[in-house]
Amino acid sequence: MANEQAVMLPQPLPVSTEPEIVPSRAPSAWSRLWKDSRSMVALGLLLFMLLCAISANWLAPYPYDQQFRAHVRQGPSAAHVLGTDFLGRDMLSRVMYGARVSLLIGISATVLSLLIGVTLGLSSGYFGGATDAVLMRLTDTIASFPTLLLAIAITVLYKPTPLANPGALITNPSFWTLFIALGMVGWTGIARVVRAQVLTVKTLDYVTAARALGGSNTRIMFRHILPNCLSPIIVLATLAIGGNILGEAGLSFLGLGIQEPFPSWGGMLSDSQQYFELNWWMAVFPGMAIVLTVLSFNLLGDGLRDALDPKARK
Amino acid sequence: MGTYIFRRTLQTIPVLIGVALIAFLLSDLSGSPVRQMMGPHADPAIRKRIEEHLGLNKPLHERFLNHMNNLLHGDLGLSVVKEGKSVSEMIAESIVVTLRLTLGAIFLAATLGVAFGVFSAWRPNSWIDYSSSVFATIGISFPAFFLGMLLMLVFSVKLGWFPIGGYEPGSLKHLVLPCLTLGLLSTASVSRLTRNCMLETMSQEYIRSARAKGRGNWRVLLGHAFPNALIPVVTVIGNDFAGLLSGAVLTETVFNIPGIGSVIKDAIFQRDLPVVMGCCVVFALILVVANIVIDVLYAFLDPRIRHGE
Repeated sequence: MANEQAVMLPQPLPVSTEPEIVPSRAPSAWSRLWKDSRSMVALGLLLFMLLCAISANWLAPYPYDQQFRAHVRQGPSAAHVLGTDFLGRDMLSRVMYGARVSLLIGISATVLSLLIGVTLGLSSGYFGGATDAVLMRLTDTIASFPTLLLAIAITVLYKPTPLANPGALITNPSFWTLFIALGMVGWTGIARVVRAQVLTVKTLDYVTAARALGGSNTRIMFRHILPNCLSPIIVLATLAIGGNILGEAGLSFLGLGIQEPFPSWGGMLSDSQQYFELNWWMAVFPGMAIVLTVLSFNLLGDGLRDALDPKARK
Repeated sequence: MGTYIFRRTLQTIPVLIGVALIAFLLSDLSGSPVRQMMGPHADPAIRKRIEEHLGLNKPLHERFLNHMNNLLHGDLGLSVVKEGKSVSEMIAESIVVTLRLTLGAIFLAATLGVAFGVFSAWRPNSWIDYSSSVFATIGISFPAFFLGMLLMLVFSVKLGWFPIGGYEPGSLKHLVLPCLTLGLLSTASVSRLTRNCMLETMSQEYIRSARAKGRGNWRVLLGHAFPNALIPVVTVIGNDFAGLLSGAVLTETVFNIPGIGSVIKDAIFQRDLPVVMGCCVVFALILVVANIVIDVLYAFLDPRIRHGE
């Protein structure tokens, strides 16, 4: 009886400080990605590269700068699986250590581009008006430089003087120059996409509601709008990592990369230029490492696009 | 059409001023070139006199106006390393080679890409379609310089069909591999987009009515669907143009071609900042002009763009 009465009584509206839990799209996106064999192969390859980069100290057969003077420019053999370079250094070890430079620069420069691009794109789309006009003209201006050229200019202008003892990768000034050069030029596409996305999202009712509830601009931008723009950002960022790895390889190839003797794939290709006609392995292995890594990021990016955007799927 | 071109050109003025400003700030903030040229042990009094003589002690905005004035007169400054040589002169000497290489690559990308794309659309999901898709995916992951080295290894060293690098004015043989190196990347994207666009067009009503009137397969494909698929080709080339210019720098380095890329490479090694900045500004200018040309091409190919907003 008491129970029946309780049911009949008008219930107070549920008041909750927590936002209502809406079934997220994320699990289905993940399962879609999981089923995509192309993306999984790419992810596997990237994890392998990451493993090589992190554990090169233990996995690499030799130190990256050890010179076997008796085995200079030798082809693949049992002792040196990928051969040796013009100073007799083991190619396999150098390719493994080279993964560090490529992945670290590729990922960190993308993070910098994301910070700049997302902030500018969000502000541009959210505030509109003069802010939008100024920020978008700035974006147009940066985008009208060929990226590699602008990165070259920044690296040449701020190229640090070589250290006698280069030390670790992170403390190496040439690493920071590359990071800034690539990160500072790669954000324009991200800013444009985020702005376009914000323009559609900010007219949605829940944003108006958040504003009516007195949410500050920063809160609305980062708590309410940004999460709804994440899918294209994730896809762009994945593709951008591949682009930055290519950019780093290009800069290293021109002699603007990480300081010797630390190996980078682009630098190894650059070193091989005089010899590759006779000693193909000096060019082919680091080159294939670049291609496979960039290819994996591109495939993963495409897979993510298909998984996150159901409209784009066939 | 005339007003469209005029309006489109006017829009680029703020961008061009921005390009000049960024180039100026980048080189200005990196420190005094006099200090760099004279080294750390130079007499400060002499250094000050030279800086005054060059107007480097004036306030920032005056230096920028001066810089703009020089730019508008086509003066990109002097090379720090090659004495008495102006940057504009160095660029003028080498830009023709670079443009020839870039345009050759675009031509290659357009013809090969469209051909692959049409073939793929002709038989979707066939082995032609499949292999062109694989080719496109791998193509965009290749660094231009590595592709160049591989092509050189196969076609010059092993097969001996083409010379190993170098450049001779008027010699097509020297340009084939560099153009292929530079153009393959865009070939891949042109072919994919042409294919998708052709397939989309092929499902339109007017194609069905053309078929209903008894037009043959090829006639429909080339006569009716193809003109509509030209627009994406222009899009891709427009998008890739910046990449092509960057790629040209690397390709020239691999094949030892005396274009802007080689000028930049030398300037990098000698830390010749004015040359690097000058090339940067000139490339940005080329890019801005190319974008106008592409927009005009769009308007030409698609009347809706010309008459719309």
